[in-house]
Amino acid sequence: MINFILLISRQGKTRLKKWFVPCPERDQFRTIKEVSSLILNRSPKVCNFLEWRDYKLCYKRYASLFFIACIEQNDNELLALEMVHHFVECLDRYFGNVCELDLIFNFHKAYYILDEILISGELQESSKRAVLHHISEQDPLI
Amino acid sequence: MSIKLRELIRSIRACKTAAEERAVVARECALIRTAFKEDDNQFRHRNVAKLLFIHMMGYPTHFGQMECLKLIASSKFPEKRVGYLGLTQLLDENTEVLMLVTNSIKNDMSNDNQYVNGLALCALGNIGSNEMCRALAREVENMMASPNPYIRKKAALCAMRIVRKVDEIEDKFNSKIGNLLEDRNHGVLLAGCSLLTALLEVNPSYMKEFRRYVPSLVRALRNMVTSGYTNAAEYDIAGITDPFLQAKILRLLRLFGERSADATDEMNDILAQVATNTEGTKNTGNAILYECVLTIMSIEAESGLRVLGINILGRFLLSRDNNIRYVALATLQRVVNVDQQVMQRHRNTIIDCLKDADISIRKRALDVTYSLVDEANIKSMTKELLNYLLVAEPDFKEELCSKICMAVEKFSPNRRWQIDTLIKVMCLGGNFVKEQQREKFCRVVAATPELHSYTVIKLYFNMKESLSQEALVHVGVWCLGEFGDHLVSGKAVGPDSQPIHVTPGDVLDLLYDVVRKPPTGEKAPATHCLVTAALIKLVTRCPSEFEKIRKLLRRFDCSLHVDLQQRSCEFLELLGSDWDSHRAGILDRMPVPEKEIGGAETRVVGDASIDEVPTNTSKGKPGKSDLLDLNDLLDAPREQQAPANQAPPPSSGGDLLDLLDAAPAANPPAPQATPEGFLDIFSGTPAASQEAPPMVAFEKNGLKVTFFPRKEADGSVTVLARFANTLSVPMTNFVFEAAVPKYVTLSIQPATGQVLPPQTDLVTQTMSCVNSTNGEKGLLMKLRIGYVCNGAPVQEMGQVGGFPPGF
Repeated sequence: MINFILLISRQGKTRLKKWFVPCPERDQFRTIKEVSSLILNRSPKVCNFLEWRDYKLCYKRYASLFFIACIEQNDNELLALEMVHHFVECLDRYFGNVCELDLIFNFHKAYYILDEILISGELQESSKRAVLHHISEQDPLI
Repeated sequence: MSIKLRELIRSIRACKTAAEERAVVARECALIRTAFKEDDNQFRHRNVAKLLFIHMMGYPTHFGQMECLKLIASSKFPEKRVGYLGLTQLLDENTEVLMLVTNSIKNDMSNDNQYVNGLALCALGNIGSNEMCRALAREVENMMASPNPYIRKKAALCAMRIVRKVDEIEDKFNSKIGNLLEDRNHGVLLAGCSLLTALLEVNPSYMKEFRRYVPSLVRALRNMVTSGYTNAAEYDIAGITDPFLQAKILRLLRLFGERSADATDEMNDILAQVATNTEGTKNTGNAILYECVLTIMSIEAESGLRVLGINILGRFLLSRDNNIRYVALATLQRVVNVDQQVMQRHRNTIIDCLKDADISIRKRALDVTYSLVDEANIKSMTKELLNYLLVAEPDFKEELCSKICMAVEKFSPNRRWQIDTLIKVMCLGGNFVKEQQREKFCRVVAATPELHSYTVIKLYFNMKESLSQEALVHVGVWCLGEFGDHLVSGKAVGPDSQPIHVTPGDVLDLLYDVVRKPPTGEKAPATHCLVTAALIKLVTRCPSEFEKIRKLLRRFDCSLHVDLQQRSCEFLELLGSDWDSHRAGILDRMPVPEKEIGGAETRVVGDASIDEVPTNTSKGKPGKSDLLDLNDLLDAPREQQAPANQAPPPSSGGDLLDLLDAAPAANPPAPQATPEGFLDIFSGTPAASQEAPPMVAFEKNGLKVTFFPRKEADGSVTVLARFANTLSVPMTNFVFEAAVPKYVTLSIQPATGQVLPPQTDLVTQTMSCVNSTNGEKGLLMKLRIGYVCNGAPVQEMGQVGGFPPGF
């Protein structure tokens, strides 16, 4: 299962954070600092996986944002990258060529989309069409 | 006036400095707090949204928690939505406030609007605490049977969390699994698989019960893998139908097949199909292949399938993509026990990965390399690992050192190679070799007497080159202390078969250097402690340096480090003259510990052909007669030996030891010229010798012992003892023993006979002595003679001191 998902900018600013395991706020911010410094300092040529504490960090860079997923030791890293990509594609379809600014000003919408894709660290919907369908149905209600 | 969320974000981004940002945030927080206090209903959800943004930036926002609860209780959807978002962001399952939400969640679960239900299920699934889960388990169970797949899938994932959080609740959900797994909707299938995995993890005994679902899982997987799937377009990612569901099912199959042969049979085909049909060009395909290989390796697959799996791994290893290689190495690590030959085939690739630019890959390659090491390839692998040690980063070095040491301990072909390699490791990574490894090395050396000289020579010259590696220095100092006499004896031979000339003065100089510049400044006292121990041992091994040693020890007697001060004071005391006679006994070699040294006891010492540095080892231990105290000899119970009729004469000097042990002399008399186990330095040196006049050593009761001492060219003294029987009756069972002071080494050869016929002096016995004080102190001898005369046993003692000076 995924323990947490982080989106950080190249300057180290948090754009989205979602923990699926209980973690007090103080620890969350400490983790974010640690993980960002680890990942932002990596060279672009190295692989996308990093061992950190007892977990594995899978990250991918999309334009100016780093999408980081922390998974358990016995999880499939390549699949985690696929899940991240799934999320990014959903965002892309919803916002239409999503960029960082979209995510800054509409962070709450990004969270809603994430809620349609993951619950408790597990994938709930593998069809992008279905995800978007549900999100768009909830939009007029606002 | 409450500003919009957009405005806030814009104004924060417009701030140029951190202080400015803090001011804006503080001002906004104050406004929000006031609005909360005034119970502003209209803009509450906007305020909470702003608060969430501020929270994400890292500012404290606890005052918003109760407002989230109020929003959740609202009937308007947008407010509920923000409320739930705030709930999951600002609270976690350990917050007490969370319990207050339980009722709201319960109401929302029975709401007509499916999206409201969805919100509630999401919240419970993400941050539900133990009590909440227990309270709402029944509702979730009902929702799992809902006709709406949207609700079903969320409820199933909620159930997964409940199963993980609450004990003894699994049975409630067992019956529902079947329906979930038969569902057409992929989301529901995904959720069902997750729930099943969680159930199996929590209670492995369910394995049997749920095994009946394996065929339907296999069927679902087969549908997706074969082309022509109805909904392929919707779930297609990079040409593969729903890779997430495929991976989930593969994982489930792994759990089922792990310990069951029947389940394995059912899945062999589909695994082969997935492995062959999946395209490995993009990450998606590789993710599926990876999962498939993991499953194949974990279950008891048939050999064809296994070969398929290994081939895929081999392909992964050769891929240019770093991610794939990393994953391959990780898998190899897991399956290394399965098939050794195949692993060896890929050995070169793995070793290349050791030199990769990517640190994650290097770490994985190291783990795999270590598992690949066995007796056959230990030498080449160690070479590679040592090369790597040269270039590894510091935080890596420690692990690498310990891994090399462990591998060497397990697999080294012989002792000499083991010691060589360990010395190399210490030279290259000396500051990272742990204490344990150093101790092990010392133990190995101590247990291999044949290599004492070799080791100490090697360490000495390595230390002369560089004193910067701490492990090397510590171990070298210890060895110098223990075996320094080998080094300075003048008998050591170097790699080019040239004799090595190391004087005691050189050794002392080296130790002095260590004292002056210890390898690690902060831990200097530890090094100095070892040096003091070595120094005191060298007093007996290099007696010429007595004064220098005393001076060096004096440096520490006022040290601020308590241990060091104590040591130096005690050792200085030991140098005092009262201890002269006992010192050698105290400072003798350490006994070899009984603990196993990694099964290497049965290993041979090893010949020189393996290494590039052939060195002759000097055989044997130095004269143990140093142990003897003159007094002890005579206290030993001698009675056991004398009356024995056929007690062989204790001819070899080694028997002098036996006396102390009070064991009957079981050693048969060694007929050869030199008794075994003795330092054979003195054999066969031609005589440019110096004869001395004969002297009467003992005369009493008709027995006369005459000594004919002769000084040899190499400094030793050969004494020929002639026994004369002046009586008219023979003396039988004649036993002659001699003991010498500690600074003399003695070796006795067997007597030419055990019976002294009357009126003859035919029987002789040769003794050889080395006076380590080189004549400073004269040669002394105590004698013990036993024989049977006229049927009565006779015991005599005597002392001989009148040796000519210089002997």
